[in-house]
Amino acid sequence: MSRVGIEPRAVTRWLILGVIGLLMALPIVAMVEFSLRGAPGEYTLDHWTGILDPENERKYRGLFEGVGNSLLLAVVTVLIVNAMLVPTMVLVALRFPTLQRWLEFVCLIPITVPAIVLVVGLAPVYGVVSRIFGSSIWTLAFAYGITVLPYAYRAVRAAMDAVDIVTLSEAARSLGAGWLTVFFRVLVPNIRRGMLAASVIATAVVLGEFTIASLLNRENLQTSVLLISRSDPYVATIFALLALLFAFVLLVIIGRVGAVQPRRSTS
Amino acid sequence: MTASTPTGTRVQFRAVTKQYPGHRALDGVDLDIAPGEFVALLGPSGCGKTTALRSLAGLEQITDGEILLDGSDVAATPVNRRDMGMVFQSYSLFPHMTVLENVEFGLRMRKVDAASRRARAEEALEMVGLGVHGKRFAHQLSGGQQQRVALARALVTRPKVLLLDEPLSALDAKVRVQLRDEIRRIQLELGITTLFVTHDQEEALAVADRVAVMKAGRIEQIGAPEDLYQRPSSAFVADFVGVSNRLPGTVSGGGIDVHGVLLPLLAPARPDGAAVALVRPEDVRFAAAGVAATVLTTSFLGALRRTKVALADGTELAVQHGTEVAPTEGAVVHLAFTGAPVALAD
Repeated sequence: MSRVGIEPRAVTRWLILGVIGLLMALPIVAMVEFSLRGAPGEYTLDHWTGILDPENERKYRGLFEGVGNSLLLAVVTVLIVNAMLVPTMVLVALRFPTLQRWLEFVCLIPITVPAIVLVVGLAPVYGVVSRIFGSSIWTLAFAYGITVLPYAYRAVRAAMDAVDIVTLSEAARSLGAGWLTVFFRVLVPNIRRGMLAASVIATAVVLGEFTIASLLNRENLQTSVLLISRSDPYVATIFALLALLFAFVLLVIIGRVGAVQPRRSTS
Repeated sequence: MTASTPTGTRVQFRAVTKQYPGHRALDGVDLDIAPGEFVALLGPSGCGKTTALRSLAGLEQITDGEILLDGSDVAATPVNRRDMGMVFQSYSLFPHMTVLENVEFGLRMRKVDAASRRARAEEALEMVGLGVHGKRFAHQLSGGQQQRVALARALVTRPKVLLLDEPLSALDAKVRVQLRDEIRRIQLELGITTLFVTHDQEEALAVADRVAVMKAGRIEQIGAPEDLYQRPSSAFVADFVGVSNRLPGTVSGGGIDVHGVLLPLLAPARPDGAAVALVRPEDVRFAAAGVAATVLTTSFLGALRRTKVALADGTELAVQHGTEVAPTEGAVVHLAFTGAPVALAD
């Protein structure tokens, strides 16, 4: 088959890939190299093994708490996105289609508001939130639910646009299904990929969030890493690397789950 | 699959109105569908035919009037309890389920046990000729096959009424005719009351017991296909159902004078004066003498031929005739009118 069009030659393709890959890998390689530094001119795994050393438990307790808090926040934020945003989007698409543009507008607003401005507005709100729900770390997920809205909205919307959810719902209803059945057995399986993508994005945003947590005096992964970096920059670097790795693994896992084809056998 | 309701369900629309902001989709529709009858709603886009069907399904709330099923008003019955089988214009199979799971869905909702569910679903698939495709997914089927599965899925629950919302419009011509005939065969076999929405007059005339032609939210005329074609109640119906030539003339003495030829009127009570006669192409033939015309184009349609001619005043009309006559373009011919105009327009 002859090559046509403007597709670059193999060498050019590999060159572009190589340059971009190098640019992206450089900071990571630098971080790995830094985390392995020991005495001048020597490399050691001491910084890595030291994290789990019982002697250092007290020193790194705050850091592990930050990691735990961020994971909890990620879970709660994902729950908020899937339990609040997805049903709202489905409801608007099916029953109030004229509100679609308004919903999109509202969901995209947070992307235009800098986190620091958001915090100024959120600070008094969190006074009320603390009175109702207490000041546990998980309440920060309400704020994160807002910051991830634009990304989650686009991911779910793309999945919804790929199927005719109005006709599928009407077909299911005409066959005797109630609204809950329509939602869970007909719509969710067909927008599953969008929901997974929204969850991944929400997790990534939460794991990387610093400003809101810091200004609302909450402790998460990023604030802990910043704190520890003042006394132990090696461990801060290791945790930044681990966070990157975690996000990467999550992307791969969820990407694979999302790509699974429908079952081939009947029940 | 056996019919559980061989006598079907009676459907009645009584002064049904559906008002949208700034637009009345249904304007006092009255329609009585006998048990087991196949009625087609025919009309141009926006005439209200789909709204009427969706109102019967419960997918639209009517503003006024009543919809009765076997005499009971169903206004308060939600769509999932109306017991309607519906086939949609766009493909509506659940993409994440196999064909068999799709067909079983309605039975599952009715809590039919697994064994009966499987047996009935397989029977329904056999009925539409897709018994061997149960394990496939929608994306592995052609458009025609998907609509057959949708038909099986709609019928497997033995609904009171079968609702068909332009189910053939996305299919190619040959498949459309095949499926159309199959729908009619199955409908007669099951004796199920059926409401079929279409904008294709040939489709409506071919399968329906009666056809209701709709215009601007109202039923303009309802009747057997032959009545509609031969005795349309208005110029709109005559134009919409079949091809009509429009010939300006003058009404006088119970007939209409068209280019010097007096044609009888089906409804002679019309007052004298200028009018336009709507004449079917098959009611015009070539003759040795008569109204002179020039051949513009001629088309071979298989079993017959349709020739377009222009009269001396520029009026164009179509003549339908046998294939043994093949007029040449530009030739001068003479025309005779063999029947009465099917309708008059102002």
